[in-house]
Amino acid sequence: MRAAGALLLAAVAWFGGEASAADPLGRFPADPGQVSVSGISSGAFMAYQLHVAHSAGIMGAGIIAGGPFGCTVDRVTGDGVAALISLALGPCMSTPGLLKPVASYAGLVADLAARGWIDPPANLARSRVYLFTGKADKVVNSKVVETGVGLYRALGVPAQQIDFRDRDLPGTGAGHSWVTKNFGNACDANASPYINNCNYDQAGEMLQTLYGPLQPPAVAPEGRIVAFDQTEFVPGKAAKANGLSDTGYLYVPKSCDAAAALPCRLHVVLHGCLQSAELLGAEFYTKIGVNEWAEVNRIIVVYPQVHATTVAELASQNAQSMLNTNPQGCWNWWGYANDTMFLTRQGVQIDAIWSMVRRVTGQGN
Amino acid sequence: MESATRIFTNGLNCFHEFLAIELRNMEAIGLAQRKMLEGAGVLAQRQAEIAEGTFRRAFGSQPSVPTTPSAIHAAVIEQIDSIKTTMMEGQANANILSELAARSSGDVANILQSRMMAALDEVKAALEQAAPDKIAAVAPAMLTVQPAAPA
Repeated sequence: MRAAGALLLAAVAWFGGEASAADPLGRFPADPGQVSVSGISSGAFMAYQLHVAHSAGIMGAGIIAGGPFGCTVDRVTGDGVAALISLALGPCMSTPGLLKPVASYAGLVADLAARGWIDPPANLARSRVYLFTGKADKVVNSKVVETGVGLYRALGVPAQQIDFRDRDLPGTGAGHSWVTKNFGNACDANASPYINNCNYDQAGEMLQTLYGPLQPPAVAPEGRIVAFDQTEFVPGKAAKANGLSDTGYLYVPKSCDAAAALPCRLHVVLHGCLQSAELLGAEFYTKIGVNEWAEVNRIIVVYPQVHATTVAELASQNAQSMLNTNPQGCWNWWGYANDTMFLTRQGVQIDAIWSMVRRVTGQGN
Repeated sequence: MESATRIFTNGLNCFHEFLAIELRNMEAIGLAQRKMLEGAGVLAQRQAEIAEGTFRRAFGSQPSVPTTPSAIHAAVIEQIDSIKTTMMEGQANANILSELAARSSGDVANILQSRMMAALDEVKAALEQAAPDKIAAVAPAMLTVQPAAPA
């Protein structure tokens, strides 16, 4: 009886159930020259940061309802940047009239690159970028996303390599969400789980912007979801103190298992605030439509996960602890957890995600 | 004689230790003051930028005078939206200034608290080194709570 139960569990794990949360992230046949990233909301801000910080190794980005690199930076200091929560909540979300000119953000990129904190921005000229803003988005103003478009142009991405879907879905338009063809809230909703059904295949258009024409998606993905240990990618394994969950998730198409003859692509998807697995379970990483496209087009998908860090979980408590928490479970785009390098290669979360990429592509240890 | 020499030497070392602790305290206060000035400078600069931005927007493009009923309607709607935006931007600017001030105060508080904690540890170490046997002898008496005399 027990043996039958164990066999059943093994079968469930093989056919799409979750492996142990403590399993280390494995290597897969992923081509390091075909790595891309996307995100929604805070995930979009983080995707932009990751793309700019590691432009030498990332071929493209999908920015859904998010704004420009460095949006929350007030000034550069000797040992990092000083960023403000009020810039995040104000100009970078609801009062775009207070955003700096695009040239100012471009200047920040140049400054950080000159310090060696991010990759040379000249790499961005070969990137492909997809950006989206919804007509009904009441969380991140469309002009913030527009500024992100302007910054990519200023950083050298040619117009023909940018696909900007600017409030052009029919009807009332999309609310603040990852948009799907057939799952989620009403199209114009601005509520949890921030996945909306607008009869628009955002995953497909975004992936085809990044990788070129693709085969039509699978009706149902046949690959497997793998849970992996995120703590090994954080100094001192202090994942929660740095806004990361202990466990991340990976979608591996059937044709991309370890023994695959041909290399696969690698795409990183960053959820938004209040969308981590700790809150939504498997909903985000199974329902946004990416896995269906990944299955047929040999794309391994990494879904790193955020943790909503409390004061008690910070590495140390001091007079500024309240300013360093992450109550909504967002990616770090304003420097919480005392990370003054959050938007550079040395940022804890950027370094962790990049280490995951290097592990999967076989470049890291 | 030996005992008096030892006591004198211990006393002199203790004095030097306390002097060094006090110098480090003064250094920390100086650093905290510099942080306060820095923070005030950043705050002042941001206030100036906000004032300049508000000034420019207030004297920006002049709207044309509407003549038709539908144009008047649209102009009123536009004016209401403009007022709402101005209010939101005002609040956002206030939040930015508040956060700058809070972070600056937090930096200063952290410097002073760190120095206070370190100074207490240093004083403790200096006392223990100066006369460890004497402190050990009197410690139990020092720690005993004397009951209050009955009324």
